[in-house]
Amino acid sequence: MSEVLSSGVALRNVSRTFGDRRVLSDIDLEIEEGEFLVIVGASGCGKSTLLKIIAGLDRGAEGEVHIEENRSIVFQDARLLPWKLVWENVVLGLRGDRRELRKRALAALDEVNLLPRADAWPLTLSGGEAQRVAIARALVRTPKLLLLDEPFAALDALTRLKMQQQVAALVEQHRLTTLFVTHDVDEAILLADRILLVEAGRIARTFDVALPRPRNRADARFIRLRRALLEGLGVSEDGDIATGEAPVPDHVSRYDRIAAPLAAE
Amino acid sequence: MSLATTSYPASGRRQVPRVVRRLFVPVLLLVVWQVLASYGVINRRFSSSPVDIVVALWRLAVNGQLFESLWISLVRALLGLVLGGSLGLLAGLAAGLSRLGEDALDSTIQAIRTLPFLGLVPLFILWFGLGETPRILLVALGTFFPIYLNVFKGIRGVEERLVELGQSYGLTRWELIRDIILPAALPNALIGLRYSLGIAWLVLVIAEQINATSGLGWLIIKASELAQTSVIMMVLAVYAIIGILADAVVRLIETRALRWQRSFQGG
Repeated sequence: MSEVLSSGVALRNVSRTFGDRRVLSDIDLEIEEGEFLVIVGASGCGKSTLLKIIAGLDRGAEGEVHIEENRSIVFQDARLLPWKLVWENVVLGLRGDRRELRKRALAALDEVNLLPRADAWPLTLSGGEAQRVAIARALVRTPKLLLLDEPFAALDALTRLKMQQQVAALVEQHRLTTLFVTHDVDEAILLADRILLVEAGRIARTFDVALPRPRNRADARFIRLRRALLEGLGVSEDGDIATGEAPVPDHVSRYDRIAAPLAAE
Repeated sequence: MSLATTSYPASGRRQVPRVVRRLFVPVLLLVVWQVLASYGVINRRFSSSPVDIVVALWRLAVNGQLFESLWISLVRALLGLVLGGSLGLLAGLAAGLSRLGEDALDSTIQAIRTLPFLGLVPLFILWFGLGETPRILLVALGTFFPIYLNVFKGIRGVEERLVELGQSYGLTRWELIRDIILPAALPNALIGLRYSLGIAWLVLVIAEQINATSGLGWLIIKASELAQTSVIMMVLAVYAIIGILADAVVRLIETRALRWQRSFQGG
């Protein structure tokens, strides 16, 4: 058993049911030390439940579950406590001398380039800043396992790109074992050592991503992998998606909204 | 391009200050009232005049009766509020933080709450005599419910995702209560306090008019026996002013304790 724990996380034949609805079945999963594992799936496929089990937030699963005790999690929403200053949020739950804690918080905030906002109230932060504080909060306790649950889903496209790079750099620098859940295929390929495709509560496929870093979206192998992943998710790769552009209908509607008042004049 | 020109309100010229605009109607009403009273259009037995009220205020302020009564009423209100408020807070915490507490307390408290507690005045006098006790207990009873209800609601309204955050970051139960549940419940608790202050004052008006020998309510009763309309109206004005001041105090507490919200509300 100690052998299993040393490699972080191991699930064997795990299932999860809510009432008579089976959300996960026959999950076998092991995370190697230092690995960046990404779980990709459409919404409702059970990937968030899987993460909750590994995060120890869902204790109702059947099967053999070994989880890492020294872990921290970044949620999709930053979940900062609005009544605590930014730096106090970073050291939430850590005990010890206040001055010492502040020093640790500032160091962690510096890593995510947010040192100047240490004494701000969380409600004054932008979405990207808040999520960086959440990352600092996860890193400050030097976890063995970092869990990220669609951490950039609520951010705008530009911020998301910057955050992906920053997380990739931090994970590399700290040599963290990371489990990252997302529905964004590009994000998965940019970051992962290994991608698990979850479909209807099962691990449908596994992809080893052997591309050199930093990864280039224009790389032919990148595009091939994206095509394979999208196919696995049941999305046709013809047309706009394969070019890496945002889907056209979205563009058009956004354009319409801007254009309409001008046309009215 | 022509759309870019924006018209700002003309500055300086003929701009009446806001304070003046807002004071205009109340002052006008007072003047009309005074004029009607002075020319005998209004019967002085039923309604006093603004000048008479000020004179009454001055008279009772000089002979000390006003401040003595005011002080006694304030002490009663405060004692009752402290007693009822702290019990309400404790009960709210107990019921909010534990299922056991909720099952033990909530239904009982909800049942008692439906009693019109001002109807208890005769019983309270029967039980606790004519001294200070029934008055203070009545205020305590009245202030208990708003505090209890709002603390309970505040605690139960804490977002599940924040509790989940606390659990996943290894907070002990006590730390979870101190760092997440209580701060999240504070805005509601302060709303309860505000209601309670209003109720404490209201209860006193009633409680002091029954068998009292001191306090603002007693001042009203005495004045009505002597048909001193101006004194009655003066005391009513004092009630109103104290109510406004009490509300301002809670607002001050709110802006201090909830300063993390302020930047969000944006003035």
